[in-house]
Amino acid sequence: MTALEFDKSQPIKRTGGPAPRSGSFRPRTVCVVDTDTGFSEMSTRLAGLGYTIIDGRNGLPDGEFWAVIISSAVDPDLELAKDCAKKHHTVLVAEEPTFELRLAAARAGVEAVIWPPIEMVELGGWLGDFHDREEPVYEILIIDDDELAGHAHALALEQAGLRAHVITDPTKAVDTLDELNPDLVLLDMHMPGVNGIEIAKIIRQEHHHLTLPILFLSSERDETRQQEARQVGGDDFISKPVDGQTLARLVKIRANRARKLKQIAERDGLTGLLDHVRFKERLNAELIRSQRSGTPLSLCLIDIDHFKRVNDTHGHQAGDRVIQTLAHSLTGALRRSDVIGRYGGEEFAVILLDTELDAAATVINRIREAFSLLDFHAGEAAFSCTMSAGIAAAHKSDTTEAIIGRADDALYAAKHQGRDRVECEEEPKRPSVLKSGTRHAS
Amino acid sequence: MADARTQAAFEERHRQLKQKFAERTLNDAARLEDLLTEFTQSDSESGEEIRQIAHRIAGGAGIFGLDRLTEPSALVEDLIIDKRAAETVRTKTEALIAHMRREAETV
Repeated sequence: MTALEFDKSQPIKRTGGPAPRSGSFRPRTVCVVDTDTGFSEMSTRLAGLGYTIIDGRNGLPDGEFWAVIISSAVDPDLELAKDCAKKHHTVLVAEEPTFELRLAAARAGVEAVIWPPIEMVELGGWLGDFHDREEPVYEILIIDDDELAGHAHALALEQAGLRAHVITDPTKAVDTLDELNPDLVLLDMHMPGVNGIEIAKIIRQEHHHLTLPILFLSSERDETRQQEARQVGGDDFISKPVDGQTLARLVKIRANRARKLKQIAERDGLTGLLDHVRFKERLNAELIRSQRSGTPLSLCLIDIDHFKRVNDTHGHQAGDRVIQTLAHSLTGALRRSDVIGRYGGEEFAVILLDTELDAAATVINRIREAFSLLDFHAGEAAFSCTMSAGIAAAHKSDTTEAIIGRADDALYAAKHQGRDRVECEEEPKRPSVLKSGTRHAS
Repeated sequence: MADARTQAAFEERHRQLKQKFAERTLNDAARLEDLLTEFTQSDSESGEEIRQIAHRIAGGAGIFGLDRLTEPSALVEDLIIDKRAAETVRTKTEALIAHMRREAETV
């Protein structure tokens, strides 16, 4: 098998519009140090998972990488691995995971050890984990009628790397929550006219705020109030006066925990992607935002071809691995700001922010091609899979249902025209983009 | 986490907030003095306003690094909540006013 060479020197031109709201595009480069055969095979896998390959066969180049993959075949004493592990996330490919090797790897500071047959899911999992370990930025809403105190608390949080937004008018709480979507609310207990408990009750009236962590800033003496507040769903108390560092630490811990719980509750268990309901909610929000700001947005629906056959022939475990692998491929190949969901059993959905139809088709087509070249294993058998995709671009007054409908129609056309292809929505003047990426009038 | 330039910016913002807090504290001290002239008992409008000011000082002092104000202000607040004798409240409030002026001058 030859290594795939995608021309990643040409970045996809998304639009010239403003940068995506959150996240940034950073090509995920993985350096591979291996024999020629090993390099070739690993490159295919990595390309399939959406990473850019850097050749490390003649030595580790300078610079920063997402990860480095080293084979013990070319580094039996793990000298290179040990050196590498100091600067990069390192994955060791062992021929056989003996105890000696594992011990040597642990001593060398290598985080991950994998061995043949190499599962895409495992590799994708490790590479994805390295990504998750970067610290997320939490957004905190502070509600305090004392403007000075509110801003002082905000400053303390910002110094600790959080983002804080202060409102002094509790009547604005609900609207601000919807706009800001914070990870946590810091609420002063005593405010003229309405107290913190009442505000908390009001916040909790909205179903999607039931899990939003609310921290009360209160004077220690309010013990009966504390009981009352816990009943209404206040998560914790921070006694005033509080110093900035303690405040930031407590807020961070709580925001972190809440985000993890939220992910477990709201995401698909197998892939960690957004589930169907959340995806649609998100699509709705992004659609409104794109319409308001005038930036383009593309929706892509993806369906694994003949998936039932995979399950029937190779078993459900194999089917699950295919799904997990495609999930990793999408996460690896797309931007942090793009939204990925597991839309159905073997269906995925992607919102490509700030992206026109053509660019979306190119990106998805790359993913499609790389995915089709991956080898899966089930016991003795080896097999491969393909996917079909349909893409629609947001129109000025689109509704969620309308854009989903058009993407679905395009997906259907892809299936109908032979599968393993990407189709774009029908537009009167536009030719549709076919499998090879060349345009033909349709 | 923050480089030298951002750290300097943070410190400047902190200094400005602390300055504003000091100014407000001086204003609050003057207000407390006025309130004391009409104060006769805890359970009254002036008593409530004294309590509110004391509460605000108690809560804010810590974050602004003026910890010496925390205890005297919390004390005044408690005395009023517990409806203690007017004379006691008066004495402690006068002490608080003195603390507030002293601390605000240091900023």
